[in-house]
Amino acid sequence: MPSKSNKPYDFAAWFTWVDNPVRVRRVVRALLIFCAVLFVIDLLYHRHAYFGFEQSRGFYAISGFVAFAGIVILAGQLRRLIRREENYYSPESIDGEKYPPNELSIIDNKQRSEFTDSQQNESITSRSTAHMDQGGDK
Amino acid sequence: MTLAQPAFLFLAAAAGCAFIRNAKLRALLLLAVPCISLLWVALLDSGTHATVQYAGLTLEMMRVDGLSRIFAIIFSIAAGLSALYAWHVRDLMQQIATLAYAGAAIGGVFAGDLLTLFLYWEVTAVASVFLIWARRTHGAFSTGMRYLLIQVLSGVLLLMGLLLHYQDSGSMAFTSMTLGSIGTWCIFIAFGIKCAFPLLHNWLQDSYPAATVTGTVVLSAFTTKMAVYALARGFPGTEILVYIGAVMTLFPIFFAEIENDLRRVLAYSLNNQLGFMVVGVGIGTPLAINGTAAHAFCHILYKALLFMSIGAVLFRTGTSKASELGGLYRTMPKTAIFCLIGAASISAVPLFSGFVSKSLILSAAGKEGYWLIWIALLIASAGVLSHSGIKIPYAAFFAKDCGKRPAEAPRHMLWAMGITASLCVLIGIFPGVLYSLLPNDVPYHPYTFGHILTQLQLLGFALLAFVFVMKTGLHPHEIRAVNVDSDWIYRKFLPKQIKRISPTIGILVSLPGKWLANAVAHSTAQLAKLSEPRGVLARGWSINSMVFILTVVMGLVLIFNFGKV
Repeated sequence: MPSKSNKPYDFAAWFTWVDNPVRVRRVVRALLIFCAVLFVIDLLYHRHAYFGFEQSRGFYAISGFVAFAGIVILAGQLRRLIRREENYYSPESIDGEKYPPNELSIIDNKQRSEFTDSQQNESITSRSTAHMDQGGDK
Repeated sequence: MTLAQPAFLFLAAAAGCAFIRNAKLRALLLLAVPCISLLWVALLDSGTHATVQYAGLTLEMMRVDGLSRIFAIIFSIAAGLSALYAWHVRDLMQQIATLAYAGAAIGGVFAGDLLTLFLYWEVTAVASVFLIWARRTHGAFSTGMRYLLIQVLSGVLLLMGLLLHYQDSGSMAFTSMTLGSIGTWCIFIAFGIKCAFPLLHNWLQDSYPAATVTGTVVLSAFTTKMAVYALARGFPGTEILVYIGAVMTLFPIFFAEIENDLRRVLAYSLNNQLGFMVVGVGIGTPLAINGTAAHAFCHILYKALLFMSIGAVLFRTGTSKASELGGLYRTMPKTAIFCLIGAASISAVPLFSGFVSKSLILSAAGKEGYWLIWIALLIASAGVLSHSGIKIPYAAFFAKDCGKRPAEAPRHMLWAMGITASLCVLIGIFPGVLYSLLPNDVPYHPYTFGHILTQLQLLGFALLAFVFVMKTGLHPHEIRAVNVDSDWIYRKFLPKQIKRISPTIGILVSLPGKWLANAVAHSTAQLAKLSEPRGVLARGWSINSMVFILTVVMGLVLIFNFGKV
């Protein structure tokens, strides 16, 4: 299929579901089912354990959920205590600074009408790298 | 006996680099040296090489055993991968610093005595700071100064400790020590500073995000893991390390959760991963030491991979702040995939590298009956998933669309990330390769049904918790802000106090000066009066009175100096 090989495979297609609420809901449902199945297996399977409490049914499931949720909620409370504005340490820190652009190769294609042509993307990338090679040796 | 060793190769290349005008040739040298070093280390025979007698001391420049070999191998790999990632860099300063820094780290893990270790310890400090200064902004310069100050403090403590230890034990050999004397404590704290122990950790989160795009990848591999090696060599089985390590795994996760700069999130995450290794050293059984070495190996790879992917985002968008990013998968899908592989590895998803290394440490903690520590590590594992497993890829590549449409990372960066990601997956699928490199011969099977089941439950339900906090809005939003950590004490509080009391001190200091000036002015005026025409001094004096005055003065001199004789 020579006509297809001209256009590189677009890996972004793997992730388009994240912007589709219906499909996200479907993935969440799949996760629920997956967890439910694991939980049922845990009830049936006798696992080897180092500690008595670890042996109890659903220990890992509960601790996974509680630990994660607890960390996130506690961290949110911690922020109220330690949050400062971005320039708090400026000028003696990098937080309020812009990264020097001459070190970077910033390319933003959002002005382009449609960003689907990977060929175009490729040419932009190579052009910028070439430019960098000439200009970077200061 | 030959003195040649891989570290010298790096240092010689660093020196030679300065004379190569062609930047591309330098980049090639940067890539070639780690490859040669990797081969060299793999072929080295175990034992002590390159012993030097100097001033009555026996210096073992090159001790090769299982523990030093695995660290030297991963350091060589990390140097090679970061050189590939930095293929576009033309900055001579960064290239020299990278070579010298990597070489010193490799030299450090081969050091058989404390003096050699100290020398390399200091070279890593001095070489690495240039990777921060290479950003060439005022903020980066200040951050670099803070970094250097703390790193050199660690070196000074090490020097002090090794001298005291030499006085106590009469030996300079770098072997297992027991805490007790002041000397060993100094050495311990010197290691602890570089290993980012709690409250000694701030240099890490402060400086790593301040380095260049490529510099951070280099920094993430060496300093802290050299310290982990030093602890594993010097203080295995020291119980206090178990508790220090447990605290290290826990506290950074809260800071990582609310940090906006994704590279600083990764620095906190690095601190948390070091905690696992330190716990392993503290337990000190052959299985635990294996766990520390294996985890250091895997960690260097997936942490570099995560820093590379966020570095690529910074390279293309000019920012690594979560509040400015989101939805980049559209135009940087390959970088997103590599980032996800790094995230899966650090979260210890089965079939990825973190799973086969972290479980060694948890098993060792379980076997030795450290139940509280074991729970702490379990909670920390859920925390790793939250900040490194989910937050990093989610904030950069998914979440809300920030509107940026950056180009995909340059090809050499994709290759570097691709190779690193493949290593993460390969180690996860074939752990036997990694296990064959471990220092102790302890059989271990990570892929048992029970282990996979428990790990999947932990991660699956933690993911459910993520869905829960997102739906309920409990998840902290990404906002433009910084969070103060304990470095606030020396960055804000102390300077402020000094500024506040300095006028008082100034007055106190200036008062005697004022008095002196007044006294001088007054006495000169008096002298002028005395010596004016018809003044006392202008009169004709007899020789007798001259002699008398001289005698009195000499007598006074004698009295005042009597005590000194």
